Amino acid sequence: MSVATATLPTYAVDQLPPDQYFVDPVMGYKVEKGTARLMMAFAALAFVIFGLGAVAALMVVLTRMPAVKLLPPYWFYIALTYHGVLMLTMWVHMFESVLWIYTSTVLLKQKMYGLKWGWVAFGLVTAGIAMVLGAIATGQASVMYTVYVPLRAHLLFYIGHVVYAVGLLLVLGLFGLNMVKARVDGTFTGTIPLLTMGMATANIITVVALISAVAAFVPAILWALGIWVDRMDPLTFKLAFWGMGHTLQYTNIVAMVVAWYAIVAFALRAGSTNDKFSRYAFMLYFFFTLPVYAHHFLVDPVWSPAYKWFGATLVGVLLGIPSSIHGIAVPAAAEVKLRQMYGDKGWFGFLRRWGWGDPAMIALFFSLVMFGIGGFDGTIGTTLQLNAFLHNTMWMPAHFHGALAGGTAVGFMGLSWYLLPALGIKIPFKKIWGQVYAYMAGIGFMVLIAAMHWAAYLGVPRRTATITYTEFADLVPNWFLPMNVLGVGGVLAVTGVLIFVVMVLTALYRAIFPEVVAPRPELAPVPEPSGAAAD
Amino acid sequence: MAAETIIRTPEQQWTALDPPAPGWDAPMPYDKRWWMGFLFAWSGLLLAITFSWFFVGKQNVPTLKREVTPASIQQEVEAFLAKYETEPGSGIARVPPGVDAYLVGEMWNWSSGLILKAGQEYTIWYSSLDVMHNPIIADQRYTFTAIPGYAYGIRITPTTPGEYLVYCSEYCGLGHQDMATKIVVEP
Repeated sequence: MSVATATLPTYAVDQLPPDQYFVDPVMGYKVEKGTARLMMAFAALAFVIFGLGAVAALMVVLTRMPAVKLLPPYWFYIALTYHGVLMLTMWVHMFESVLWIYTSTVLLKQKMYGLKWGWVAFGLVTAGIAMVLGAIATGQASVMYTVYVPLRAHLLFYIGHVVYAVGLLLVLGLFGLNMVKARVDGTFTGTIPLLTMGMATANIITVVALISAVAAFVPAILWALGIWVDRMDPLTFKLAFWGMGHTLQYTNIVAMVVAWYAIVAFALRAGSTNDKFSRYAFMLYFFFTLPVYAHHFLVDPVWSPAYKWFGATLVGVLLGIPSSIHGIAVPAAAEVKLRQMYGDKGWFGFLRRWGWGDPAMIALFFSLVMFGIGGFDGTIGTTLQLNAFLHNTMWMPAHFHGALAGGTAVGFMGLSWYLLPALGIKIPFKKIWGQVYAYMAGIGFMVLIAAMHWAAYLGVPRRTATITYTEFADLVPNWFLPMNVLGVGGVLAVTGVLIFVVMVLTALYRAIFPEVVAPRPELAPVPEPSGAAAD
Repeated sequence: MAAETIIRTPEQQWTALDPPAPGWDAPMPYDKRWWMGFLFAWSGLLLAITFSWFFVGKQNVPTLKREVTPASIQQEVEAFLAKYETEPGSGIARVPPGVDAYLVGEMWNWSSGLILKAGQEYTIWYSSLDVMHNPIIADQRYTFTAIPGYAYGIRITPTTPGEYLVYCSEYCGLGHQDMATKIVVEP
C-alpha cells in the first residue's frame, strides 16, 4: 500500500511544494492555488448573479409600489421571473458551491480532486444559466417558479435548467469524491469538521431534490416537444416540481446554518456550544426534509386531509426543531465566547459586545432574527387550516424573504466578509462600507418583511403587476400603504446588496487579474487598504 | 499583514471548521437535552391542535372534489348561467339557496360573479378551463385553487353582507393582474 501510494501524486497540502499553496491570513489554513482559483470563479459567478437579481428586485419592488408603478405588466413578469430564478436557486447554489469545495478541500487539508471536472461543472452551470436567462429575455418564459403545466415556457428555459442541474450534480459528486479521497489517502482521519458535515447534509438533500427535478422536467420537455407525452396532469407535475423546489430550499437553510457557524468561527474563534447538539440538528434536517412538497397542495383538490396533514403539517412543524436548535446553538456559541473574553456583565451584557462594528456579526444578527421570523411564517403556512387563509397572498413572499433573503442571503453576505480573505482575496474597501451594506440590507429586509406581513393581513395578492383591478377598483381594500412601505424597505435592501456586490466583485477582480491592477513600479506605492478582515 | 502570519494559536478554542474537540461525543449536558425535549413536546402540542381541529373546528380545508373535463365543466357553467343570470350577458348570477354555484377560471376571466344570501350554505365549484388559477376572496383571504381537470367544491356560509373582490393569485399569463370578479352577499 505504502509503496503504491508513494508514486502517486499527493493531494495533501502539507506535502505540496511551497509555490503551490498559500497560507490564508484569517485562519492559517494552507490553500492550494488551483483549488482557490476554482472557488474564486464560483464566487465571482455567484456575486454577478446576486447583483443581476438585485437589479431585477429593484424593478419588481418599484413596480409593486403603488406610488411608483415603474413597469408595465409584460416587463414586470419578466423582471419577476429574473428575480425569482436568479435569487431563489442560482445565486445561493453558486455560493454554496464555494462552500462545498471549501469544506471538502481546505478543511480536509488537501487539494481538490478532479479539478478539471470542477471547471467542467463551472462551464456547465454558466452555460445553463446563460440559456435560462436568454429564454426569459425572449419574453416567452415569464413563468416564474410556477411553471406548472399546461403553462408553457420557451424550450430553452427547460433545457437550460437541465444543463445547470448536470453542472450542479457534478459539483455535488466532486464534494463526495473529495471526502473519499481524503479518507483513502489518509490525509484526514477521525471525525469530520462540523461544517463539512453540514455541507454533506446539504449535498444529500440537493441530490434528492435533483432526482425530483428529473421526474418533473423530463416529461415536461417531452410534452413541450410533443413526443410520447401528449397530456400531463398538472397536479402530478406540480408534485414533482415542488419535490425539487422546496427540497432545494432546505439546501439553502443548511448552508445558511453552516455560514452561521463559520461566521462565529471566523469572527470570534468560537465553536458550537456543544458539538453533539449541532450534529444531531443536522441529522434531523436530513430526516425531516426528504418529503417536503405536500404543503403546496393544502388547498388543492387532491388527497385526503389526513395525508395533507401528515405530508405537510407534520413535516413542517418537525422541520422547525433543527432550526430552533441551531438558532439557539449559534448565538449561544457567541455568548459563551464573549463572556470568556469580556467577563460576565449581567444576562444581556454580552449583546453590547456582540460586534456591532463587524459586518459579519451584524449580518449574523439580522440573519438569525429574520430566519426566525421567516421560519415561523413557514410553519404557520404548513398548518392545514391556516393555509386556506394564506395561500398565495403576500404571506408567502414574507415567508421566503424572511427565510431565504433575510436569512440565507444576508448570512452569506456576512460570511463573505471573512471567507474572501480566507481565500486570499483582500477586500479593498474600508470597514465602514462593510458596516453600511450589513446594516442597510438587514434593516431594509426587516422593513420589507414587516410590510409584507401587514399586506398579507389585508389579503394583497402576490405575483401581480398591479393591484388596482380596473373593473372592480371600488372593491379593492386599502392595500396601498403597506405596499408603499414595502417599497421603501425593498429599495433600502437592494442598495445594501448592490454596495456589497460592488465591493466583493472589485475584490475578486483584483485577485483574479492581479496583473491588470498591479501598481506600476514608477508610481508611488498605494497605501495598504485597511478594510480587510483579521486586522 | 503578511500572508504567513497565523492569527490562530494552538490554545485558541475549537471552532466548527476543525475536527471536533476530544470528548465531543459525551452525553449532552442537561440544558441541551431539555431544549431538544421541549421542542419535540411543543411540536407534539401544535400537531395535536391542528389534527384535532379537523374534527372540532368550524373552518377546515374542503374535501369535496371530482374529476371533470374542461368541456363538461363548461357545459355546467353555461347551464348555470342560463338559469340564474340576473340579466343576459351580465355574467352575474343570483344563486338561490341550495343551488351549486360555479367559479371557473379561463385566461383571464372568471365564469361568473355571484350574488349569495347571508346565512345560507352554498357549494361553489372551483375549476379551470386552461391553466391553474387561484381565486381569493379579498378581505376574507379565503383561497383555494382552480385546477384544470378537477372541480373543487368549496362549502361556505357567508355571514357578513357586502361586496367582495375575487381575484386570481396564481400566475396565469399576461392578463393575470386584471382577472377579477365579485361576490355580493345580500342580507
